[in-house]
Amino acid sequence: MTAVTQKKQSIPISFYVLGLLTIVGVGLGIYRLAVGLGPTTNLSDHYPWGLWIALDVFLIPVAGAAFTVSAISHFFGREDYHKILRPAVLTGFLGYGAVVAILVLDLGRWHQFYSILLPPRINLHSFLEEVALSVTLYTMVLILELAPTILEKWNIELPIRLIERGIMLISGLGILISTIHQSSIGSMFLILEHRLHPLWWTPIIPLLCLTQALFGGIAAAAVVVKLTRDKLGLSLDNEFFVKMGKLFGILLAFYLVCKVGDWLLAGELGLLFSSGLYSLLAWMELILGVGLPLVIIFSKLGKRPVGVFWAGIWVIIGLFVHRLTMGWVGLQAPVWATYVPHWIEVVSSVGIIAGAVLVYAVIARSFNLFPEHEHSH
Amino acid sequence: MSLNRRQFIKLAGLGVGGALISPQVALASGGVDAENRMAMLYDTTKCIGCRPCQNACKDWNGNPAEVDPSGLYDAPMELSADTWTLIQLYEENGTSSFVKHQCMHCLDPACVSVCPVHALQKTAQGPVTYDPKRCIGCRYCMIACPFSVPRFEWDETLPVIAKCTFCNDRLAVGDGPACAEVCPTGAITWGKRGELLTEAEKRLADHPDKYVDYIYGKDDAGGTSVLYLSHVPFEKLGFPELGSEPLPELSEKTGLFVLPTLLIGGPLILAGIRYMAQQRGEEG
Repeated sequence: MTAVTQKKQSIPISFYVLGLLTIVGVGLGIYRLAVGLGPTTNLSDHYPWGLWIALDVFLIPVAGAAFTVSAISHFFGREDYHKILRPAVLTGFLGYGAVVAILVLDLGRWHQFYSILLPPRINLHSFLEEVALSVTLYTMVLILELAPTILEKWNIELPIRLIERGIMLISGLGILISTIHQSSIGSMFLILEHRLHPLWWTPIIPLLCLTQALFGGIAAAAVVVKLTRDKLGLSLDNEFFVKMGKLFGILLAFYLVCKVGDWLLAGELGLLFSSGLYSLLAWMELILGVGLPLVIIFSKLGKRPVGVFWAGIWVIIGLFVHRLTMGWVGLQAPVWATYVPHWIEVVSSVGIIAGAVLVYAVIARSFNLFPEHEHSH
Repeated sequence: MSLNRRQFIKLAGLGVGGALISPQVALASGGVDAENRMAMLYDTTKCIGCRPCQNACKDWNGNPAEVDPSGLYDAPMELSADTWTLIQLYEENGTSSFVKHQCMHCLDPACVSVCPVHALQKTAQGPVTYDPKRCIGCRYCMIACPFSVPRFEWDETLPVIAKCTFCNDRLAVGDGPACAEVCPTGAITWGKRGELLTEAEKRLADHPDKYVDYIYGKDDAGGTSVLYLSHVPFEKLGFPELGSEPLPELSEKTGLFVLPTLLIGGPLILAGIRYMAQQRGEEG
């Protein structure tokens, strides 16, 4: 491996900021584990789930960047997607890393986390268990998929060759596990019909969540690749970006049809105008996270990488609104109960996500995310 | 409404994966032996709100009284990690009623279905029990319970889920639940579910003027082990309308259909896509 030809640069100021945030976040996380949820969160019997769970169910489809790009590249045989496989896998890996870190903070009895892996304890009726098992297994798959990027730097060839030989099996397994848990995230809410606001509760919630992971994953990959290549001073393949935009645009349109069709079928369209805060959140997702990116992609703007990039950003914002509602705001509590996240919940989350971004940036600078030999094909 | 939609989805599901779904129907809910499981019957017309049931519950389970910041005793406002049963008063337009809240010990409990690690279990005798040694503290049970019964020890470093145990440890030696045994008026009785249902129906038949013509828990949420008779409408006492289908039904059926479909179909589809891509590659 030769490609890292960048000369030593001084460390940018943003790295220090991210580093500082990470240290604060990790420190607060340790404090939370030491003193419990009472002093560090505003969760209560009426709001047992809050910001942390919402962020987890948001980050999982964003981390879908890895399995979507991997599927298109390895199984659909699209060479151009192969070129962005490494940043996509790294995004996925760090996304799941952040998910696990935040989940550990949220678990009241985190010291018994291993329970989810002990066969006599596993309850397969629980979609949360399915998600937990999948995330554990998939993280291992991602480590294998990521390993060559890291190991090649020191010319450790044997494991790289083994992984490359088994890559179809490894990535196939990853795609399968992802399909299962991305839909299971939605299925977790099937049993909450009495609790989740009807604008979000639907029997097709697993399908909606899986579709979100598909367009969210590809959109996240587009955003990450553009940012990375810009920062590294690499050129962008215009045509490929337009293709990516079209792809997640079509999936986004499919999502819109499912969602509106479901509301129509359930006779719930009226709720879009009569549910106060909930109506507002639904419209925010529809306009910012679906309508706006669709307009961008299928207009002149979508013919340029910067347009696809911004469409991707809005898709992720829409995903954020949807998952925040599904995992927290939409789970209705008695009217007199309130929950606003404690500052420790907020800052620890920011710190963990900053840590993931920092690790990405460091790897992007020191390892080769865009191997040259892939371009020559 | 949503029922129609559910049926629509069910039909669609049956069309595709009927064979996978059907065995589950028999597995769901308590089935025939539900009648022999332990249950309680609470009758609002007999309750005088004297609250020894609350104290007996705390005594037996070693739960401290809830006090105000100065350390003086104050009656709890709602269920909590230290208060597993609670008598509340409903009063409106001259009509009043006491109501007792605690775990309903559903026949097919949502909390048991969602618990990832089987920390919550439905015992053969009837109670829904909790094992802190398995629990990871995810609180999915708290979200899933339609009666908002499970509570959490928010102030503990390593908190546990807390709720009524139906005095499972007393049942083991042949005693009844502590709350039922101290009730001086017979408002709380306990016994086999089938017998209590017969008794409840008899009371409704003997005194149709005294009661709302409904036994809450007979079929609600697929049936519960705590049954209620009331002289005021149940929604006034905080009982949700849940239908007669067990809560876990839709979710467990979906799992039974979706998982095998993806596990078997997924690899086939992936292999097919790969094959077609290769064909195309060779042609091109």
